[in-house]
Amino acid sequence: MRRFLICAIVCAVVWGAQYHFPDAIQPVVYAGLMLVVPMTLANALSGSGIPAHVIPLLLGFLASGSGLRHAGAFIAAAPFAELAQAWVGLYLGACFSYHRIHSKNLGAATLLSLGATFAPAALALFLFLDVSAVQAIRLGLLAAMSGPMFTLMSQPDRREALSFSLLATMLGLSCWFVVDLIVSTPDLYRVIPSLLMWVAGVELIARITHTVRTGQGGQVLFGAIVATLFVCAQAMHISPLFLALVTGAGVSARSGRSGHSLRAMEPLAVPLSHVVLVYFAVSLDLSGLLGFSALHWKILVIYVAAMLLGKTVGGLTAVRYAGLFLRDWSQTLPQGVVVFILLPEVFPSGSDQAIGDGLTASVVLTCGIVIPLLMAPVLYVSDRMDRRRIPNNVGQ
Amino acid sequence: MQFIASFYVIYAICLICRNLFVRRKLAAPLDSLRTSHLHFVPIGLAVGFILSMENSPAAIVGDIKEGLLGVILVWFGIVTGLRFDFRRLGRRASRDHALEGLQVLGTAALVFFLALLWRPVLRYQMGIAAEPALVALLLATLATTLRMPDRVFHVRSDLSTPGVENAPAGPLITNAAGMTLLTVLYPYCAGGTVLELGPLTLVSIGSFWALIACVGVLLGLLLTLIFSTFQDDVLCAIVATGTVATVGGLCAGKAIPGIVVGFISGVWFINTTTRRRDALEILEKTTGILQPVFFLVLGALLVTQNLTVLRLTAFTLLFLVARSLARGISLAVAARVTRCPLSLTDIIGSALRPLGTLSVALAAQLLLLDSGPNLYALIGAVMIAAAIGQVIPLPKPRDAAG
Repeated sequence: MRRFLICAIVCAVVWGAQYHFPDAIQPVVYAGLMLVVPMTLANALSGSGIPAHVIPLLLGFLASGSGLRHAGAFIAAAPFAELAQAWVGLYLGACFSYHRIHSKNLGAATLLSLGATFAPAALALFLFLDVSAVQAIRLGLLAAMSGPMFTLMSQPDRREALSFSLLATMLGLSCWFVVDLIVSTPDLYRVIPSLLMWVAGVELIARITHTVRTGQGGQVLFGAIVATLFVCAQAMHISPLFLALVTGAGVSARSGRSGHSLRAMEPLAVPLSHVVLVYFAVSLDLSGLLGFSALHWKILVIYVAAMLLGKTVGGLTAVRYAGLFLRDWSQTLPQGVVVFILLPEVFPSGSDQAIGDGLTASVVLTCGIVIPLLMAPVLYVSDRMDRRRIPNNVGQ
Repeated sequence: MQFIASFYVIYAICLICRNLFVRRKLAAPLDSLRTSHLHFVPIGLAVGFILSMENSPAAIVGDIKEGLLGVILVWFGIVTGLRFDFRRLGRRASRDHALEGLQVLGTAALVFFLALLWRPVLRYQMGIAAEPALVALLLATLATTLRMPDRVFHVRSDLSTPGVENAPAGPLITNAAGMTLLTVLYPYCAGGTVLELGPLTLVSIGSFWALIACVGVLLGLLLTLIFSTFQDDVLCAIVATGTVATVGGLCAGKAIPGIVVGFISGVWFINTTTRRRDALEILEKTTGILQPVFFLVLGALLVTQNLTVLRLTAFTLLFLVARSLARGISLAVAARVTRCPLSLTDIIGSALRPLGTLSVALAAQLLLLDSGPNLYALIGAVMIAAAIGQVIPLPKPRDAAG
């Protein structure tokens, strides 16, 4: 009850302030709100079986619809959300364990999952709908990616699930990058210096994070690294989340063990994931859902069907050959942040902005909220069966 | 590319310096500076300079700097308020409290009237066009404040934390007493401020004071609620920081003195919470993270200003001399009034105690309450004064000398 009271007081203060003096609201107010409310509610509902990532998404959609935001100040809060993205991305990248993938056949299972999702989705979209080849490929890749941030929030102790989810997403992102290179044909001489700078940055981060070991000093250092990644991403006009993700993976590879030097970022990674999800969910305009055409419904149906099919095939293979559990496989299904960031790239400014937002919202609603909520009772029953099976086996 | 390479250079320099610090034991003055986190100011200056080269990141960071500063000020207010734990204060002899309180009162009064006397100098030489009484009050308050936790070093000795709980003239409540003065006197010195809060228009001193008190108590209540609800330390720290960010952002937006609001909430919180020890530990850890951020932000803010070295030096020297004299005279008078025997070394040692983070925060608070480019000169001068104070060794007390 006290948790709800905290949320109610903070929301009431912000609502009253933006109702009476909207111009005086600082962006940091929303940053605080995005930190307090989802964290408090997630803590209050932790025993209910609802996946942790569903709460910030739902809260964001509710806030977007109810008007609990002042548009100007909320847009100005974007740097905080992007800093949070960089923090979470760096930590997730550092969690990328090469040893685990090699030792448990996760790599093969992920490749199978990626192919089994990408191929039917891209083919169906290209053949049956009025979608260009590049758009179909991008949508197929998007369907094949997972939500590692969701896994981090819902099942932070499941390292296999996180590795599976991370690998699928990073492979998908790499393919996306290759498609981008082919389509936009940039000058390679511009890409190579950037890559060299990135390698130098990874080396510097790996060295500097190994030297600082005090608790508070470490957090300040991580904050400084995240802020640097953020301004670099701004200067290079790329997403801070993706830059941080690959940088984290680079540092992990350089360290030789999974996220060795960046492990101390963990305590803040989950709370900041809430900020990221709430920010993306609030930013969406849900009115686009009302203006859906038949084409959009078809895209949604093919996208979700291909995703379920491909990930089930990949998941079952991983359960059979890579020692993955059902609970781990269920963590590869939800999608959110990559959809928020990359789906608008598939349908650029030519198409209606509201419809694009609507499509993003519908994919997130289906893959980020509905499917995880439907999976929750299945996982509960599966867990109960496992628990019953263990005493029976012990008895025999 | 140059932009990113510049950041790499900063990291490389920090890495080299850090390795040097680890290998060699720092001299006491440098160690004193390091523990005060003032070494983050030059890093902030460098970062601010690099950011100013590139348009888009500078614009983005510029939008959030003010709010961030507001939140940190509220946090420092809370941390200062935590020192007003009445149960803990009750253990100390009332004569020591009286001595310290009288010293704070005397210092504040002397510096306040000096600042009012030097109003033309502040306005026409320093170019500080803010409300004179408000500037004088903030200068008086920051003259009373000290570095906390109190760390001193004597001639040819290492940095140490003296036991202040029982020592006469040891600073235990100095910062809190100074902040109390600011809290009580702020509405009187803020000038003819009219504050519109939706349907409410606050014009009288009483209503303004009531607003500050209400916001402070609300934040204190929220903190008490948070610490009684969440048992996990990290969760407590995060939710508390988020709440402070919400309230601090609103204070910064409406030009409400966040540091005073934070102080009231800190006093309320420490005297109502049941998790006093945990709370102090958690908040202290978070403060350890926020202090470097504060100095980085200030450094980044200062580098874009056109500050004159002559102005900075003149104001720094003037302020240091006035503060030391005021502290010394008021302590001598207070010792006479309370009949507490103090040697000349004690008085000089107390007069030379360095300024701390709270002092710089009070100067920075003026930036959010009033506008004007020359306020940056004031902040810069206070920071230099703090740095100078921290590298000056104190005279050895008689018992320690023997």
